[in-house]
Amino acid sequence: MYDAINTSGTGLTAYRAWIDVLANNIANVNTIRPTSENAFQASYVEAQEIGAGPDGIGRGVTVVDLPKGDPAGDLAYSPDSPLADAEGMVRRPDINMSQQMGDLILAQRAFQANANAVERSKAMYEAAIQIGKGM
Amino acid sequence: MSIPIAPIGSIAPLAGLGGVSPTGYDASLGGSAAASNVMPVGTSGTGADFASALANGFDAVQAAQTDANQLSVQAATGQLVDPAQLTIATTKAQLMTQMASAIQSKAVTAFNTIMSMQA
Amino acid sequence: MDRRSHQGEVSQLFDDITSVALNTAIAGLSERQRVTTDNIANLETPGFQARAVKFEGNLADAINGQHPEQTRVENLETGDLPGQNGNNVNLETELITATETGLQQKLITGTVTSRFGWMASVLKG
Repeated sequence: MYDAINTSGTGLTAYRAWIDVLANNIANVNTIRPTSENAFQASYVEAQEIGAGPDGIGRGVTVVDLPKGDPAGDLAYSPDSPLADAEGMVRRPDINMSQQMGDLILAQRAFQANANAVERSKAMYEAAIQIGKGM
Repeated sequence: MSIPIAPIGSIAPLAGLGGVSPTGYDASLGGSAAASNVMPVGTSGTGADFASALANGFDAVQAAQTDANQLSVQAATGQLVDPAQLTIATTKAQLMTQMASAIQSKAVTAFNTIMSMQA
Repeated sequence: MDRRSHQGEVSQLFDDITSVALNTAIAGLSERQRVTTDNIANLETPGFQARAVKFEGNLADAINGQHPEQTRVENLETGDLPGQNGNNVNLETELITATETGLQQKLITGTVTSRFGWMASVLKG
């Protein structure tokens, strides 16, 4: 029952996952690895719509995968780092900070929109439940 | 969306008295297939049709209650898609039951009044 | 007249499938609300396993078998994957469940009240 609320709930779960992923990427923007290893890989969220129910209306979104970004990263010259190799190079993660922050704002706005949708749907269902009360 | 509430249909005339007809009755008002929306029209004539009109009216009330019961069970098992269907059916059953009760007591009162008329 | 048989007749008025189904739903929903509140309270407890209440399917099966009063209200672990501190409570899911349980409780108790209303208007005559 209450399909509208369930569908918005899937949105809340998906956008929360996106925010978690972005927070991890941003936290690790300066995580350095030696050139012998892969760089820290940024994560992404792959989401897919949940198919329609018997009434032909879709049932929301679900996170199907968390693919990782480029393992090569950026080579940077940092000879003082304890992880530097013979030429003084280290691997930095391939994370674009402004893009991550932009995505964070998108994710937060989308989460808010879904939460608002839950409130609107709840008000609608309450109106339906009130029919005939106090007769 | 308006709640489809059944207007009172024609009441069969008792012998010698005129019946009451509704005006502007819209037969297309919605409602479940199970519940008849109309208190049925009795044929003109004797008091026996009054009894059958009452009996048919009670069938309609029974159907409305059954409809509401079925939707209640669907809601209890979490299978009801639209809660408004249940509250509308419950309201309809409640109104029809009250109306049937009121009509029955009025009919009994009228019958007793007529029976007590002495020549 | 045997008083006991009359008591049986009277209680049958309230034992029909719809009444039993609605009362079972009320009990199940109340349990679900309790469990959801407990989950939310333990949002940060390390190692806590979230639980969920399941009864609607059991009720549907019991009704099909004509024994609605034998419905089991189950309280099971969700089996969701745990997060960093072994806690697997998913806050959005619990809030959605709490919202829906509240709506459903209003709907079901409203229906029970209305049904008593029918009987009252019949008894009043």
